[in-house]
Amino acid sequence: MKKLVNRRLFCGIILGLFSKYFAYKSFADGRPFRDRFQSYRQTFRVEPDKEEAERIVKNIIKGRKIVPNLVDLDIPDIAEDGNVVPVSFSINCDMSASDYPKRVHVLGLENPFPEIAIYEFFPEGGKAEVSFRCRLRKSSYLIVIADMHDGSVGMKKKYIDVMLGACS
Amino acid sequence: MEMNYYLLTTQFKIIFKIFYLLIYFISTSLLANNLDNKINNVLSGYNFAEPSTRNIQDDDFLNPGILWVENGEKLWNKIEGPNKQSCNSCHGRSSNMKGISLKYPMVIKKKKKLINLEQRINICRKKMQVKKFDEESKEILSLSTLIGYKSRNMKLNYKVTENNKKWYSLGKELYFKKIGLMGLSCNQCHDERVGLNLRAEKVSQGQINGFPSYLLRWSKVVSVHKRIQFCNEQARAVPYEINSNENNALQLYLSVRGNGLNIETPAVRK
Amino acid sequence: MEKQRKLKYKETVTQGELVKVKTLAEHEMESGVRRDEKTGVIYPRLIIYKVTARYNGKIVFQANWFSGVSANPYLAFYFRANKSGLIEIEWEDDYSKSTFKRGYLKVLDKDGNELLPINHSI
Repeated sequence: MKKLVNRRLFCGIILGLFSKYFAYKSFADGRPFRDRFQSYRQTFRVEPDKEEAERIVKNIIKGRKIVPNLVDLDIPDIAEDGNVVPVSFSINCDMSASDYPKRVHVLGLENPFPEIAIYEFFPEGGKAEVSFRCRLRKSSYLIVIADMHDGSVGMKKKYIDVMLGACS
Repeated sequence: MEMNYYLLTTQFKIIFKIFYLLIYFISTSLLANNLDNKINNVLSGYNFAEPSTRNIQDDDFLNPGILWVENGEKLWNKIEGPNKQSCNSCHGRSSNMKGISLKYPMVIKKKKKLINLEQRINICRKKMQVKKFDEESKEILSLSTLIGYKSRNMKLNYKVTENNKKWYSLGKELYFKKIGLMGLSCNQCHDERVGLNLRAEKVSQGQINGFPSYLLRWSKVVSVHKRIQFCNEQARAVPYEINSNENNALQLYLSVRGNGLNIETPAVRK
Repeated sequence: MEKQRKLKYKETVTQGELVKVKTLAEHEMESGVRRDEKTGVIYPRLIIYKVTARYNGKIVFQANWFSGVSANPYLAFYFRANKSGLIEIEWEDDYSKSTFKRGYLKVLDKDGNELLPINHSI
């Protein structure tokens, strides 16, 4: 027992007492904060249905052959926030009475509601170029489908990395 | 004999372990308390944003925060109350407010209390004998965004004086205080881990030169206090109330910390 | 407070020039998925579902929007102007509440004379 009470232990105790003052500040004062909405999010999620999205795309194309290089799509590779994703697209056509896009569909494949927007053009338009901002739920493909006046169809697909998803 | 030797060694080991642990705790706590607030070069949150977000801020038409500025302009000229006054009737045109937002948070001499711009607007409304605006309501944020917008591109130059020295030290203490279940202090992320990734986000320096700013995650303009509360919630800590002394003191410290930055109100952040 | 609608374009153009029209509307675009933070009740969907652009009364562009368009929606499009006239943008809300924003576009020919949509010779 004599070995227990030595200089080292004595020093240790003093340092221990001394450090309590400092250590008090460095420890976290752990007051829990519960995310009270998280449970809601978990239970009632509007789940995106990928099959439904593909069915919508199929219904728009209707088995037609896709014309290449008809649609130009300009979107960032990485979107910082899914709530605001800047999208701009243009259709390569003359915008004459026989050659113009009747409808242009914009779809996000993994959104709860895949259809984002439908744009209608008229030959007076002059140029089929639109820019707007959309929401994306998570990193997914964005599809632009151009339904032309003469029945041909053009499609462009691009993948966006979304850091923080919208629609939560 | 063997038994004795065993006891001796374990005792040594335990004592050494305790000793090292103590030294570790003391050194870390001492370092944490003595860290200086000086950063080599102050960088605005603009530098940490993605190019797509920067484009939105650069163009005044694309920036939805300008909607708040224009709403503020309407409120500035709106005549209210029994005396039929508007902001315009005392302060003149809104362009007179250039450089005003740099002075806040400010200490009122009478009450020896620290107030921010939103509280000042409500004091003004009390003098006008009209109902004061709610915290974080659209009206009050429109007005404070307007006033902040008028001092756009001016340099942040907040001075610590005898009056606000007390609040400055409180803000500094809060900045280095560890909070929440995660045990995080502000400086651990915003000084030591600047530019690294926090999940999907890039950690910025936590400068407040763009506030009140348009946050993409909520799709609206929010004040500094709301943003600090959100930061606290992420660290699983109970946030201080909006317009509380603690948040004001922290805002004061952050303004001093970001001296030299240009005001970007209404900035676009995520 | 009244919701703002903004419209921007180059105000004087030459004949046959493409005009870029930028629009911005102040709107929450409630998607029908979000919940109230305290009660957990779903906010009902409330979005602008249709934007129509008319030039001298004729539709030149139309957008049909769904819940995937972000809040405070921005929209930019082009059209070709041959005569001066009135640009009219109509934002149609759910519950069919329409808001308008109008602007005048001046079209000049090569000599600098304005091309009016109606010829009135006295």
